[in-house]
Amino acid sequence: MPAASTYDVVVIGAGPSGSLCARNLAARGYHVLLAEKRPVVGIPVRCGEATGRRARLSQFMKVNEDYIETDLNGVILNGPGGISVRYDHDDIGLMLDRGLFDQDVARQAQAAGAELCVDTRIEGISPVKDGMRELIVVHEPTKARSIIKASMVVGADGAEALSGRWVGLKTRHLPPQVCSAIELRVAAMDPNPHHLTFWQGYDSINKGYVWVFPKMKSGVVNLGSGALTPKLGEKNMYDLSMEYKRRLFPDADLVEVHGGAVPVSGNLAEYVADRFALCGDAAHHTNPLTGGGIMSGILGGELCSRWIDAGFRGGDLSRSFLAQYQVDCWEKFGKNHRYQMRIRDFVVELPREAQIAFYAIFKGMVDGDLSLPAKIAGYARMLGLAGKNWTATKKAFFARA
Amino acid sequence: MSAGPKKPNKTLVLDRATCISCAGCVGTCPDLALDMYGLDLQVFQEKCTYCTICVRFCPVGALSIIKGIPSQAAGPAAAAPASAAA
Repeated sequence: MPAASTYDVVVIGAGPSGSLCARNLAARGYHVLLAEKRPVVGIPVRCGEATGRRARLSQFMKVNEDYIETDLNGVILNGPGGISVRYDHDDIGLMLDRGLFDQDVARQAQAAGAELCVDTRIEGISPVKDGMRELIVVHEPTKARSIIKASMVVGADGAEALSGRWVGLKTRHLPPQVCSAIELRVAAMDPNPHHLTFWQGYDSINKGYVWVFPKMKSGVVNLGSGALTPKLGEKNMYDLSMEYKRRLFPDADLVEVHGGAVPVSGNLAEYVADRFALCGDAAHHTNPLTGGGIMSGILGGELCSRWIDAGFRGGDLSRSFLAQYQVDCWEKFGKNHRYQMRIRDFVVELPREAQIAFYAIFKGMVDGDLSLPAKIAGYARMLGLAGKNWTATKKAFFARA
Repeated sequence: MSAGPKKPNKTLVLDRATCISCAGCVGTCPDLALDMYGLDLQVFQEKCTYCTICVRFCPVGALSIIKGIPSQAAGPAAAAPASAAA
């Protein structure tokens, strides 16, 4: 249970985004509570566990080798029509052990002076009264309830994100802009131990992808699939993943199954209120093309802590002031996410033949053996095949945010 | 919370044997009829409007909507029968 009854900042959820925000604020001298409802931080994992480059991560924290599983040196993308695009480049990213990673970031927050409370569930947030918000806290094992007060509340409760809805923000996932994802942890060796492997397109799954990520240190692979919310009666992600498991690793043991929602709508339109802000998955800071959210969540948490600090110093934590945090996130990564979302919608809207043509151009560009006339001819062919869909796709692509 | 009249002849059923506690459905529900307590998903029947979004979403197919009201599923946060989901 929380030791005090009044805090400067209460952060709900001890994932990477929330912990980082709590760490930064605690390091600046604020009295911070980091509330996590699960008994152990980071467990169960709900993530594919691939993230960006080591250099990028080290901008936010000291990289600890304990949680790094594999250094990634490339990507293999299997498209429709048997086209396989292989991209090799040193240090494109890292595979993490998310359990250990989350615990490491939470420890950093503790070391900076934040109070970490596990088994602590926040059940409601009151409107602002006298410059404070009241939170209903439930201690999970005993179900004991108490009320704490906070000058500022940060919701970093991930894809579930009920905290935003308590204060009246529209944070619900609107299908199909949410990915239903499942991941099987399989005790097998990846034939490409330093590459991320994807299957996308009409031959596997069009509105999403199947992935195989190697985790060298643990000697397992993460085999998963995720797709924009399917229609009723369509094949669910578990069956699809099991199909791939039977095909790729028929004899390997299944160690674990986990899954979850991946918000792929791009940044929410509004995710701040008076003395309240969301960050990470809760604010849909996830990349809508790849579904990756670790790095953008961390950046979101970092920006959130900066603006809250600025708000405390200026004595203004109103919605209109915190809106600058939203704008900052939009400038730093939201715009880029919107662009990637358009690419995604463009590719999944293409009919099969046009999608194959798209992948052929893409492969040529990655391999670097595509001459300019061939590129132009390829685009013309793709757009020709896209036919009627092109108008709809164009509209989607150029639609304003 | 939408307060529309409740259709009494349906029940949202959770198959606990299949559920992997991913909590993904919680964020998709428009009526806050689902919540996660520890690793236990709770269905609040009285809030559910049977919009099927969670059924579509569930990556393992553990949620389903059936006709009729099984006697065990009455009341708030009642444990739904595990065998009824297909």
